[in-house]
Amino acid sequence: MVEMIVVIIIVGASLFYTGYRIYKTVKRPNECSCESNNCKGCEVYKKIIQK
Amino acid sequence: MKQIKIGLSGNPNSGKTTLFNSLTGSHQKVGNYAGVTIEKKEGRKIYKDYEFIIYDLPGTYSLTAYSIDEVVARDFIIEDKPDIIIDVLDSNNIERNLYLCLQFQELKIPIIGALNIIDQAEEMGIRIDEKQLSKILDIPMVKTVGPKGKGITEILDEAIKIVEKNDPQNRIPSYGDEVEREIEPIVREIEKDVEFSTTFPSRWMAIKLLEKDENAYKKIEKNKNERSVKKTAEDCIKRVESHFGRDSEIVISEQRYAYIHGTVKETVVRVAVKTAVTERVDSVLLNRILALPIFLFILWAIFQMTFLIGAYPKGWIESFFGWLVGIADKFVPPGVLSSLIIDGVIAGFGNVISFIPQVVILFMFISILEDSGYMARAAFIMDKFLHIFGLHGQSFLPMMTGFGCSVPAIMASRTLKSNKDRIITVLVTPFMSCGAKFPVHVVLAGAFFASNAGNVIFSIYIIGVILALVSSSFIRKMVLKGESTPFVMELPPYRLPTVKGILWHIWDKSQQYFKKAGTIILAASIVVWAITSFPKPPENNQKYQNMADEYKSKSENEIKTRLGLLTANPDKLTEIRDEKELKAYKDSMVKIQNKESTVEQEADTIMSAWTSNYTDNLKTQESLSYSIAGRIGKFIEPAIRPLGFDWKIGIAMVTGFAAKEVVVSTMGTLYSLGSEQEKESETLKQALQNDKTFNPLVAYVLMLFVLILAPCFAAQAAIKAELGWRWLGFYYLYTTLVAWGICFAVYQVGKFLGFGG
Repeated sequence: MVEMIVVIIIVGASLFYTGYRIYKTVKRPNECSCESNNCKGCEVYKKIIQK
Repeated sequence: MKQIKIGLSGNPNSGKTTLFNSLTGSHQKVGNYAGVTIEKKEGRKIYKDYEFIIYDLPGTYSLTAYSIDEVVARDFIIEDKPDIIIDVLDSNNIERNLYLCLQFQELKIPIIGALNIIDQAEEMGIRIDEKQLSKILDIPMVKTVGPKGKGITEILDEAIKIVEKNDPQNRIPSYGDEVEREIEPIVREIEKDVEFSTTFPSRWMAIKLLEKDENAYKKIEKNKNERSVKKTAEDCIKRVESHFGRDSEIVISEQRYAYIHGTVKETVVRVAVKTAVTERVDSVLLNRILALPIFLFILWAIFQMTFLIGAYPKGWIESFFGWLVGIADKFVPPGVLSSLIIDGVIAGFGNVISFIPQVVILFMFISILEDSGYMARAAFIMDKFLHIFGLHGQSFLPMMTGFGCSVPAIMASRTLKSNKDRIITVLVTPFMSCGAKFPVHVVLAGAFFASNAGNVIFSIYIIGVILALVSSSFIRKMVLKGESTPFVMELPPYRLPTVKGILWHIWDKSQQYFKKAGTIILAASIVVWAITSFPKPPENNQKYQNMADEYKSKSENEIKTRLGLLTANPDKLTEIRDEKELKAYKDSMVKIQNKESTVEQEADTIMSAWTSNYTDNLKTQESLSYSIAGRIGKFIEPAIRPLGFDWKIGIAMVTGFAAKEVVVSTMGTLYSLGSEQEKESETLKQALQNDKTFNPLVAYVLMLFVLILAPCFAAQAAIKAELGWRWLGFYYLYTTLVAWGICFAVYQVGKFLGFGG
């Protein structure tokens, strides 16, 4: 039972995070897939949101 | 603390970003080709009680902006009004670089000239008298070498001097009596709107109107006296053109160059030196016949080395994760949590992490090509081919960036001046195989083309380039009709990449990859594990028992015959290829020969082991098919069956939209859960080799499919942001049709020719 609860929490958190990342990328694209938040793609994304 | 706002501007590839990094201690991407900076970046520096806010602006040749990135630079300078502009001048091309400098003077913003890359210029025999140049132009000039940090404190000291003295630089270039006579009436008309002339310098605006600058005409609409200004400008243009017999834009440009020519004559001496290294190297690398073969050889060698060198650390990482599986198996009791750790986290995350060495090595080589100046030459070499396909060399630079990540590559297309060229470049750039697709190619090529893996991956990259070219030609002819715009390619001098620079690239790439693997890929792997593990099918032991009995009766006679044959003729052992099978037969044969057992008894022992294995596999496969992923996979399977793919590959394609590395982690989880082998000893490569769906042909078709199919969500969002929903829709339709069509053709022809295994 405890094992199942741990698994449900981990899977739930992962599902939420994956969904959040996809939503954030599609709806508010302020980060590119480089993940560094420092490449020129990232910078341009930020600029687009500001506009 | 007082603040000084500085705009760092200059021609493309004059070394602005390197100087920016030296000034601020940042680590912005630097490349030895034009167009690395496409947006302004901000950095800060504290020096002598002053806080310097420094903006690195995109490179521009003039303030008549053509492309989006040039507009970014120009609007910042004119509208945000920095306190000082540092004009970064490439000392190797001082005449061309001073052209922009003169335009800055007209804006009446204090300027500091950074005579950058002075070390190379002096090596080439160019001697610049910076004090004299400074006097003539009334601009402080500082000799700088970006990577070595030479001249940095001098620039900051000059900036402080300018701010503290508050002494405006009043010298502006003269265009000769005839032109100056026409500038004056326009200035007078503009200045009638006082508010407008405080935002836009009236003399600069008047010259821009004389140059017929479209952007200036748009801006003048804000002037209360718009009509009169336009009318005066039109009259003045007519007079200038009638006097000089040439277009007014050309006249202004000629006058500026005449002024520059005079200045350079007074301040620059060229000493004869032996042929520069760059020219000697270029005579080979850009040779009419050898250029393309050399370029292809360099790419091919990079893939070979990436694969060969990277295989060792990759093996170590795989062994580490194998050991981790053993630990998890030992300490976590069998059950759902153990499966989550072994089949979800380690199989998913671990498989992606194991590609770090190869990805890092590939990008290290690409960064060496960029920093050395060869990448710009690659664009030059490709230029004539690109023209055949309706593009030009400048499109190749964003495309090359696409080898790293499609998102910045799509953004980099902003450097293109023609909108049609930009749309085409955005649409074809994702065909360049990005770094995230690389692990997918490595795992498939490594499993099915062991000794030729490097060649196979090279072929995938080349197919990507060919597809990009053919697609641009198709789009140019069918959708966006028109000629490509002419473009002169700038070839920077060769520069030896620094060890620090290369180490920085390696660190940066590894850090990015770890971060991505530890966040979205890890989370996606766990989600993939969950949807492949749940819901569980109802227990039906009787069904499995019946299937096991059926299997037993089918195989019993076969095993007895084979055991009997082996006892009589031990050489037959070589015909059995599976190691486990071979061991079982060997053990049994030894027992039979030693009279410890009979053929029947040994056949029974082998049978029961096989039957148990058989039913376990049946249960696993049924469990996978019953899961959410299985049901989605089975739903899409009919569409991908003609390509040789099964539902498991279909699932990997769908999850790959989150990030292309997730294709590997999904396969890791799917084939770990559905494995027929002992988990501890099996890597993804072995699992794929043991899977019935896979053979070299299917593996190659899958690599092609991953290459051509629409990229990850982030890249799709970038396409939408740049071109809008309509073009994104077109892109989806186009890539899906092309991916399916090509993969179908390759698979069916391959199968027909007998490559289907």
